[in-house]
Amino acid sequence: MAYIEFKNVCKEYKMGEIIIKALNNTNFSIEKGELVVVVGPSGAGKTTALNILGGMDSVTSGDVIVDGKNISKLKNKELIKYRREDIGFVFQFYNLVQNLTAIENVELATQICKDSLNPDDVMGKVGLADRKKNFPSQLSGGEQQRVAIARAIAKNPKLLLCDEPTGALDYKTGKQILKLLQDTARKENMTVIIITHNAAIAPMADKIIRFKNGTAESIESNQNPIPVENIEW
Amino acid sequence: MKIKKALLKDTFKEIKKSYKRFISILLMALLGVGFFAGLRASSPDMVDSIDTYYKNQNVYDIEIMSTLGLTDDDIEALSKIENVENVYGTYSKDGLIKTNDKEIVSKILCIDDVNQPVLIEGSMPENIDECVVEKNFLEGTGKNIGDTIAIEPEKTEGEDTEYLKNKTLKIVGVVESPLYISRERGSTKLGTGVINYYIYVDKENINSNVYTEIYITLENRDKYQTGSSKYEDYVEETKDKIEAIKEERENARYQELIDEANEEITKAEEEFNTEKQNGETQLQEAENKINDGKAKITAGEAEISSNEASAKKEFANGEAKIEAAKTEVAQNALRLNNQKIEAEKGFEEAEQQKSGLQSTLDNINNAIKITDNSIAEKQTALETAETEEEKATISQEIAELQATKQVYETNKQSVEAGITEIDNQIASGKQELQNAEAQINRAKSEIQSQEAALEQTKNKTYAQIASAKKELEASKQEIESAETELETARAEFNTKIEEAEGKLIDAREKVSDIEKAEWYILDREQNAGYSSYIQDTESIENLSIVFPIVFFAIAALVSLTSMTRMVEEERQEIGTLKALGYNKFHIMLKYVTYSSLACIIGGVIGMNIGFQLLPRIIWDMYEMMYTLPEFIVSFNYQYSSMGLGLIYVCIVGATLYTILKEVKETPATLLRPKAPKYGKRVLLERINFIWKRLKFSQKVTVRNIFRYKKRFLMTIIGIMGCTSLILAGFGLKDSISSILPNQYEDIFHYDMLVSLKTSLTTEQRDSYIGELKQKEGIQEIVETYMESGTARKR
Repeated sequence: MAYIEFKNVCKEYKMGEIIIKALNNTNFSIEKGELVVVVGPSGAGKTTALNILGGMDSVTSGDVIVDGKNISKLKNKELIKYRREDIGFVFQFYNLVQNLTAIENVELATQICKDSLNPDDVMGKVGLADRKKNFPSQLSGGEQQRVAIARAIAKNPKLLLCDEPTGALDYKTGKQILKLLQDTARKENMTVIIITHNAAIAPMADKIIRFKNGTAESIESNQNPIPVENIEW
Repeated sequence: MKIKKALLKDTFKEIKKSYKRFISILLMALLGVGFFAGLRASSPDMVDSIDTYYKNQNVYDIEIMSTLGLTDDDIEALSKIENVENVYGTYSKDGLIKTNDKEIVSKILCIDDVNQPVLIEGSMPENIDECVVEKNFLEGTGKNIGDTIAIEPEKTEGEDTEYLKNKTLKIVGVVESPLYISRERGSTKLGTGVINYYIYVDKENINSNVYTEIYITLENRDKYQTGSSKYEDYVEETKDKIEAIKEERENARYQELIDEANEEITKAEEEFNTEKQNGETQLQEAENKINDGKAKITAGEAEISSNEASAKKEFANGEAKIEAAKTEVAQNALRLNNQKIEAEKGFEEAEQQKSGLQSTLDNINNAIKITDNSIAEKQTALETAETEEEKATISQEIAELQATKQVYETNKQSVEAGITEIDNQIASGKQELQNAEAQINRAKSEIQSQEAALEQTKNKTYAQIASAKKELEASKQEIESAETELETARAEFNTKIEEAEGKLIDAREKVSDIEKAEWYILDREQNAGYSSYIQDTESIENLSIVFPIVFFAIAALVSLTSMTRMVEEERQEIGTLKALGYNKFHIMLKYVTYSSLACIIGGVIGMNIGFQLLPRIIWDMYEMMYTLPEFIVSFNYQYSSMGLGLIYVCIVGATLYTILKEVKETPATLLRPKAPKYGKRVLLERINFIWKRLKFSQKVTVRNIFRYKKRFLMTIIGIMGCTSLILAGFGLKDSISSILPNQYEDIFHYDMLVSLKTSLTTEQRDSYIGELKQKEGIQEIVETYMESGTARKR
């Protein structure tokens, strides 16, 4: 049994009288330590799938199993615990708390989970040891995203979920971020899932899942992932 | 739940960042709590002020008045009642004072340990010619401390005792009475019928044998606040106990008066009886005297006539005797005359004898002389004689001569003796005659004197008789006048007796007319000033319930709006936190802390301002109506915690309402921007002919009304609240300003009111009214009868 399994997952949203099917019978599986890139056009259901996987949204039907735990059946309290301890999330717009400094943003995450890493170490890891006292507004976009990644990995999560982490960044910075993610996955043996609409970066992944019309259209394993530095787009 | 440090940091930084919002919520809490606590405390503060005032001045809890006055026995009986601490008997009466041609009516109270007035200026009266007045008195009359005023004498009917011993009083001070905290001084039968002022005099100055009021203070009354229901219950309970002895005391007082009156009547009756008897005996005595007098007069008349008769007889006897004596004397005189003539003859003879003797004597004397000469010659011859013979012859011759002389001498002597004898005989005869004449004359004069004496006696006797008669006549007249006098005295006596009997009957009737005593057991609520004050505190209390509700509602709405905005602004942050694994309590805590802090800080500042400011503002308005020495403002923990609690519920409740709605959402939803509310078709669209004519912006407006119902509702509520507040203000002004026209145009139609004395007769009244009717400018006169009465709850 795979580490992560999506089985016949459906997700419907009600917008007034209209029902929108965001996920329609989606199936895929991911192994532990894999770096997965999810690609597909807008509205294909990538973010919905990622949110469900991160315990941030519920399913309408189907099962989501993570490390033997069926998270679609979890109660609210267990779901919070799951989010707190098993998931690290990186958002497109960083979602840092503006009132807190970089290090405090990291502490915001570490203070609530048990096996957290030392925030200072993590800040060092992401290369921001000397900027940790800065507020998000004093940092560049790439630096902010690095803080966000530090916040996510400081929790020492089982899963690192990234929703378009480079979407708001320029090419170079985006590349640096992707490298950070790839290195983290490799070094920490962390399962990392990256959503992107940029199919060009797919070769860096161990597994590429393509979404279309609310379902995982194809799942392909890449036996020879290419380091990000070598990818050009 | 452990509060996370980073999250807490975030909260405080949030406050710093959005301090305007924080302050707006803080201000709402400040206003809400300030108004609530301040307004609510105003009424207790006012009650507290009067309570302190009344306790300090030892103001009564229960007042007793009686239609027949109150006595020391009543005080004793009341002292025995449970819960009664002190019983004070005091006096008060209305008095007229004339100053500057103005007639004012004043309540004259006496200084006592109960209801002590507060000295504002000057000093308290120390003796019976001093008094203290209220401030308005000085302002109204233009008098000053040190001036004197005179209380007009009372025009009481029948009562002869004046209320005050000393009616000219010097003003020595200004006081405030706890009995008159409002401008209301009560009504009176004197003057204009309204009491203008009150004055206090020394208790010694009061001249009354009964108390006009009894004031009672209760035990343990410090435990209760005046006006509170506990206090009222306590007073009511004691009043019930007094009610229980009321009838007995009423009867006792009534009996006392009856007994007193009866005793007086009995005394009067006794007096009347003795007086009557005295009068009767006096009259009887007078009559007896008159009768005696009459008898005496009759006796006197008889005596006088008998006396007269005997006197006449006596006088006749006396006259006859005198006549007899007169004839005897006349005979004697005649006889004497004859004797006289004879004696004259004898005297002539004796005179002749005498002259013969005289010539003899002369011869002798000549002879003697010749002899003497011869002797003298012989003598000379002797001396010249020289012989002895011659001498012897001469001496012989001398001796012879001397012997002759001797003979001569002897003859002379016998002649002289004869002359002397004749002289003696004549003299004795003459003497005899004279004696006889004198005797006759004496008899004559004796008779004359007897006659005179008789005449005198006669006159005297007759005069006496006449005067006796006169006297008798006078006595007769006297007796007659005495008789008429007696008659009038008797008549007078009878009328007097009748009168006295009538009076006695009247007095007995009056005794039966003595009405039974009636006690009025009152408490502070019957004091006009106090009760209106308490009522005002109640109306403030009611106001203090309504007004803060508006403020709380506004506070809730404002905090709802700003917290909604804040939560909406931080939607993504909430989502992030949720995604990071924070539970909803962690997240809510931030917003609850935020609003709680604003609320508590604002509330605490607000209550401190409110407790000081609002009661004083309200008291400022009421101070125009009430006179209290001190207004007490205190911090009220009950209302402060209540106000803070309410505002907390409003603001934090609103916060919880908004945040709860948000945190319920899944992190995924929160991370997405909030979906705008979807537009809906509205009913108006179906009415095609209107919808067609609407411009685009108007269509948007109409749809938005239904799209954002909350916003729409808030606007409505806001406008509603403001409009109602403004309208209430105008309405208040309107209703107050219409009171005067209502009262004096619609209810009271009169321009002038004349009070007539009840003692006027119907004719007097009619003539006066007739006179009035003819006066220029008088349109109509309506005669009415007004009487004040007391209504009591059964």
